Amino acid sequence: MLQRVIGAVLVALGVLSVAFAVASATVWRPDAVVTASSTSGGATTLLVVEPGVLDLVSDEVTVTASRSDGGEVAVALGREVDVRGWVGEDAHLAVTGLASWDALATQLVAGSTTPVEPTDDATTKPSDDASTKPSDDASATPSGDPTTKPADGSSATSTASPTPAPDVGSSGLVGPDPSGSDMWFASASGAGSASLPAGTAVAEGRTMLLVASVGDGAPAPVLTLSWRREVSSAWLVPGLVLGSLLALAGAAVLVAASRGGLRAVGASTRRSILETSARTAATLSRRGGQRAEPTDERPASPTPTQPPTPTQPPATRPATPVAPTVAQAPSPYDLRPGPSSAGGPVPAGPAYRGPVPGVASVAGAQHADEPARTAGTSAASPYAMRPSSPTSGSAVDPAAETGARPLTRRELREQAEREALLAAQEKTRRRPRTGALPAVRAERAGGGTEPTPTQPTPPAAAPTPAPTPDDSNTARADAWRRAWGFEQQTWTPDPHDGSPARPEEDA
Amino acid sequence: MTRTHRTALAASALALAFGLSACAEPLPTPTPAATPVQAPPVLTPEQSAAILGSIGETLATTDEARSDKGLKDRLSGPALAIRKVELAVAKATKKDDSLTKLPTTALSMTSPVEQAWPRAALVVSEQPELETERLLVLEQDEARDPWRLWSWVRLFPGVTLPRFAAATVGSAEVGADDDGYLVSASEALERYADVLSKPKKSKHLDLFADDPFRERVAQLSKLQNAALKPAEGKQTMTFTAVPGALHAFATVDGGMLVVGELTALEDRVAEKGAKISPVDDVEKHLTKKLKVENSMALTYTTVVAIHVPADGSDATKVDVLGVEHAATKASIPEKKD
Repeated sequence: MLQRVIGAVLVALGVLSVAFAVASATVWRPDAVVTASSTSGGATTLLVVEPGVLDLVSDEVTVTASRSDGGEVAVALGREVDVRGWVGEDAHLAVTGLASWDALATQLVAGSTTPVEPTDDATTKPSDDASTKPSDDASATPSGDPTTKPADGSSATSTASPTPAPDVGSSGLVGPDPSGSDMWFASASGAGSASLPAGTAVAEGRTMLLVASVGDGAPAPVLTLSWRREVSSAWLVPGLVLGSLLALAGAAVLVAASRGGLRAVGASTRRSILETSARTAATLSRRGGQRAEPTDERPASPTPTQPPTPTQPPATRPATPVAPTVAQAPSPYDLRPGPSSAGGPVPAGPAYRGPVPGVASVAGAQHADEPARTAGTSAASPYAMRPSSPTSGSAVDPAAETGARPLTRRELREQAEREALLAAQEKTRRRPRTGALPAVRAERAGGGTEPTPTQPTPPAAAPTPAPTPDDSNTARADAWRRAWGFEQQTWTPDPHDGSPARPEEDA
Repeated sequence: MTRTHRTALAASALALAFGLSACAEPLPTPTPAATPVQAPPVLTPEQSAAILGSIGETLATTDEARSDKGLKDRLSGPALAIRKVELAVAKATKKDDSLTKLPTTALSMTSPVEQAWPRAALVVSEQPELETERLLVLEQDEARDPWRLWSWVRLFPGVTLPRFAAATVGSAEVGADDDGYLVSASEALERYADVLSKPKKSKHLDLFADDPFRERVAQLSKLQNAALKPAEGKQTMTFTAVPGALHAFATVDGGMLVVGELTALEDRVAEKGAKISPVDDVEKHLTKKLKVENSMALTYTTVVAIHVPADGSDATKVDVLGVEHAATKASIPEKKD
């Protein structure tokens, strides 16, 4: 169950990771082109871009200036000193950075010479004329500025300018023209919009950009900076890899979990059954041994009980189940190949599992004579699991009885059916493999041919005459511990129990 | 219910997405280059070349048209005044002889470092055919003004120009009254004007080494006086420094090169009844509208280039390196009687 949860969580994480990776490279991927515009506004015709803003995002920037009314607009790139000197005391908008990823932060710098008010106009206009006229002349605009300007301005403002349009000549802003100056590294102008030539190096030293709406009644220009930048989808590949790994791992866990279930039905079940019966066998033998053990230590006393080891259990326990198992146990060892693989009968057996034969012999010894076993059991106990596997073959009792005779098809079928039944029950039970196992085994083993695993413990415990409930419990616990490899743990039992136990463990 | 639910879900998802995308990248802040400790030259070589080219274009255009239209775009100061007359004379005579050859390809040029305005740069132009190099002074009067040719000077044959700082460093300008020189720039011009005006009696004669211009002025004076003598006439020439009309550039040797404008007023007076006739095409043009009788006054625009050594240096004399001297105006002085 836990495995499934973990698997599901892993898969979910993996999918999420992949989704995030993909999203980071698509939906959330930052634009390769960052475009930010200034907001038009302010009583000025000039706009400057402070040093460091032009290469804010990347060195590759496209500068586009526009003007709402379609009048002439000019852009120029120059040294900070030159731009500031050119702007002088005129009011202007200063672009100081990015307000957001698509808006430029602007700041209105009030000036003393810009005709913000109509009265100021008279003062600036002369200076404007003085400065712009020559360049106008150069650019083939005849020197008839005074006459052409009003008309020009009125036409310009009538289109869109929010500034007091009609009285341009007297009240509007007068936009001086920066184009044509010798100071600029690059400049451009045009009607409605202008942009610097591509590839203009904007990031050399402290450079500034100047944007101007030219002419009377000019509105503030709008600047658009568009940076092309390298956008790395750095999270894509790692995310995909990690995500797929996670998903795969989760899937693997899920598959394993479900397989585990299947195996419980099939092979693994078989193994677990084998283990169980083996453990049971060990338990039983030990139980016998426990009683016998003292005798091992003190050769004199135990004698009567010991010799009959294999058969004795039945004697101690009225319930037959144990006896058959034990009795069967030896034989299956030899026969085991039979049940495990119908194809390879006897020869396969020994070759099949190295430890088995040895164990088998030990087990046999157990049955044969207890004293010898005592030491052996503990040593063999780990192996006991193995022999148990054939023991599970105990289900195959008939075959075992038949000796080396290969199983008939019918027998095989029956066996398969039995196994299936067992598996089904196991599956339905779905009990965790915990300390309860040994009890189960005892039961099943007791059940022998009868696979009903219902109440293993009570029958086993109850009949045991010599050992108190305690005793049986400790025995079972001991068996469990041994089966799982926790051997020298709590050793509580009675004094007589303790003494034999020690040597056992030491062995 | 489900609808609102769904919209709420979508909204929150959108908000999440936007939030995530918003916090993905912080806004960059400007990191401008540091202000240089030493002010860099305000003109790059390319810009200088472009300016000279532009001036050359203007000169070519006006020369071809023999008209001063558009001349003031690129010319100012004494250069403009002189060129206007030259163009007018050329137009009148239909000959280009009067036009001073002004190559605008620079042999060398100082890099101005003055950050404020006016700014100025000194250019040594190529050598015109059969003539000496021109020393050009370019000036940008205000930030919104273009660079203009302020003056030119014909260098005397064989003079050695002082050396100027490398173009990458830039040559600083020297104020008109700055100390640290043998004489200040304005004073140098005033004293030279005095020497020119009083070729024999000036008390500054020792300051200036002999130069071709002084000789020529003396020679002209002699000739004029000789010519006027039969009519009991007399010629006088007075030079005055034009206040503030100068540009001084620091040289590597610690001195300075001063280019300044002087005004020369030449009076020619003859006895009553005599008639003074103009000597050359320029005077002819200038006096075209005047009824010249027995007196006339000619105003010359004169530009001189003077090398003033540093104060405390071994040099004790101020060298005049070149001059441009052209009549730009004629008038009839008021009669005394």
